[in-house]
Amino acid sequence: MKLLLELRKEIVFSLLLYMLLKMIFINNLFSDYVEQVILYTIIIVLGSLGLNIIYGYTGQFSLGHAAFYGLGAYFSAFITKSFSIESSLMFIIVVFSGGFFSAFVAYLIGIPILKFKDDFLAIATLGFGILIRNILDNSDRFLETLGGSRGFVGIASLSDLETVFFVSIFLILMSKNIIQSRYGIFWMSIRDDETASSSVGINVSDMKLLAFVYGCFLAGVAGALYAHLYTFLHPSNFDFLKSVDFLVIVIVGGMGNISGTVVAGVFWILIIEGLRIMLPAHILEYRWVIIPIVLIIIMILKPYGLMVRKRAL
Amino acid sequence: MSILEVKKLSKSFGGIKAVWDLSFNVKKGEILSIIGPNGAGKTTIFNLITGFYRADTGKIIFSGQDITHLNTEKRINLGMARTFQNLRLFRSMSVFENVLTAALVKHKYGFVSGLLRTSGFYSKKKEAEERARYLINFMGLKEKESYLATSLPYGDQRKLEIARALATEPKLLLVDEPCAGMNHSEINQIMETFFRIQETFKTTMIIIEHHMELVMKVSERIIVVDFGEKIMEGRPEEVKNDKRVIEAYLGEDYGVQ
Repeated sequence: MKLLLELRKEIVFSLLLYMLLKMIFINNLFSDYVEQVILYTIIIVLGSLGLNIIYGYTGQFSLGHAAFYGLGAYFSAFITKSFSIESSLMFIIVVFSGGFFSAFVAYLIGIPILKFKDDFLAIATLGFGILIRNILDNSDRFLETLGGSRGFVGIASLSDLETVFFVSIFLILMSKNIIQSRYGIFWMSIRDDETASSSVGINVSDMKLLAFVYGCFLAGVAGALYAHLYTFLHPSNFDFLKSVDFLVIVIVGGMGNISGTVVAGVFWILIIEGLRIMLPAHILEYRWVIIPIVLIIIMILKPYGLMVRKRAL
Repeated sequence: MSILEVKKLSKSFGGIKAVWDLSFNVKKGEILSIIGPNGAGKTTIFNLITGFYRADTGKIIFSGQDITHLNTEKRINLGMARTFQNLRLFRSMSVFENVLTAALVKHKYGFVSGLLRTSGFYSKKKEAEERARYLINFMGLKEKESYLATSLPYGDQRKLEIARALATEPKLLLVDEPCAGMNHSEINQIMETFFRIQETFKTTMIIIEHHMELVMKVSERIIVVDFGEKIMEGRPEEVKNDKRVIEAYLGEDYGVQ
C-alpha cells in the first residue's frame, strides 16, 4: 500500500501515457508499422535498463547484452510454439519465463567471467555473445523448430500494447525500487570502489553476480516481448551490433540513470526509424552518416549523458 | 583478554619479506599503535588482518575464532573495520550515502523485499538512516551531510572514512594514518575523536601513525616494526627511550626530549 502511494506519480503518468497510446492504436492514427515501432521502443528501453544496471550502476562493462536478449526471445518463442499458447495470461507467464531463462544462463556464465574487470570483462562478454550467435545459427541441428540461420518463423503474435506496456512499466518501477534499496546502493559502491566496498563488509562478487543476473533477466523479458511482436527471429538480430545498440542507449542516457535510459531509448529508435520514414529513398542510407554525427555531438555536449547534470565522477 | 591474536605471521612478495614471523596480541578495549619507518610493512599487517592479503604462514585469531582462511567480507562481518591510508570513499556518493552504505550492510532485508517494499524494507531503511545520521553527527560532519564526499576538505574526508567504518559496528577498528596531511588543530580533533570512540562504543583500536605526539598520547601500547619484523613492544614511555627504536625510527632528537 505504502508502495502504491510512493509511486503514485509514476503510476498516474504511466496510465495517462497508456491512454494516449491506446487512443492512437484504436483510431489507427498511424500505420501498423509505426505502432510496431512504438512497442519496439518500449521493449528496447526495458532491455537497455538491464544493461544500465549491469554497466551504469555496477560498472561491469558487458558487450554481450544482446545474447541474453536473444536467449529470452528464442526460449519464450519455443515455449509458445511447442505448447500452442494463445491466451494473454499464459503469455505473460511465458514472457517471464524468457527472463528467468536468460537470468539462469547469466548466473551460470557470470560465476566464472565476472571475476574479470573492465576491458577483460568486455572481451569475455563479447566472446559469449559470439558463442550464442553461433549456437543460434546452428540451432536447427539440435532443435528443428528454432530454424538456425534460416530464422525462427511462425511465432504467435501475442505482444499487444497491454502486455508490452504493463510488463515493461511494472519492471521499470520494480527496478527503480531495487536501485533505491540496499542492493542498488551496494551496486553503486562497487562501481565507485570495490576495495572500499569489501572493507565495509559487502560481498562484492555476490552483488556483482546479482546485478548481472537481474540485468539479464530484464533483457530476457524484453527479448520475449520482441519475439512475439515481430513473430520472426533471426540470429543476426542478436549479434554484437545489437549489444552496441544497448550500450549507446545507456551511455547517451547517462550511466546509472533510469530516466536517461528511457529518454535515450526513445531518442535512439526515433532517430533510426524516424529517418527511415522521413528521408527520401535515394538518400536513405545517409542516415548512417547522420546518426554517428549526432552521437558525436551529444558526447561532446553531454559527456555524462542526456539526463545527467555535470558532476565529479 | 585479547580480541586479536596474531601468531607467527609471515608474508613475502617475491623475494621481499614484507612481514616476518610477527606475533602480537591486542587486548579488548585498548588503543594499540603500530609505528615504524616507511616500507616497514605496517599497512601489509592491516591487509593481512583484514584479509585483503592472505598470510603465507601463521595464524590470526579474532574473538577466539581462527580467521586465517576467511575472506574480507566475512572478517568485516565478524566485527572488524578499517580505514585506508590513501582515502577510498565512494566518490559518486554524498557524505550521508557513504555512511548509509556501510550501515545497510548490517541492516539486512531480502531482494524481493527491496523490489516490493515490504514493511521490513521500511523499518530496516529507517534504522540504517538513523545510524548513519548519528555517526555523521558524532564525527562532526552534520552540516556537510549532503555534500559530495570527494568535495570535502582532506581532514573531513578522513573523518568520513572513520564514520563509514564505525557504521559496520566494529569491535576492532584499524585506522591507517589518520593524520596524514592534517594540520595541528585537525590532529587534536582526531585525537579527541579516538578517545570518544573508545568511550562511546568500547571499540578496540589499532592505529598506524607517524605523528609521534598523537601516538604517545593515545596509545596504551606501541609496537615498533622495521623491515617486517617486530623490534619492540611496550608502553609509550618504554618505546620512547628504547635504543633500538631511536636508532631505527625516532632518531636521536626525539629520544633526548
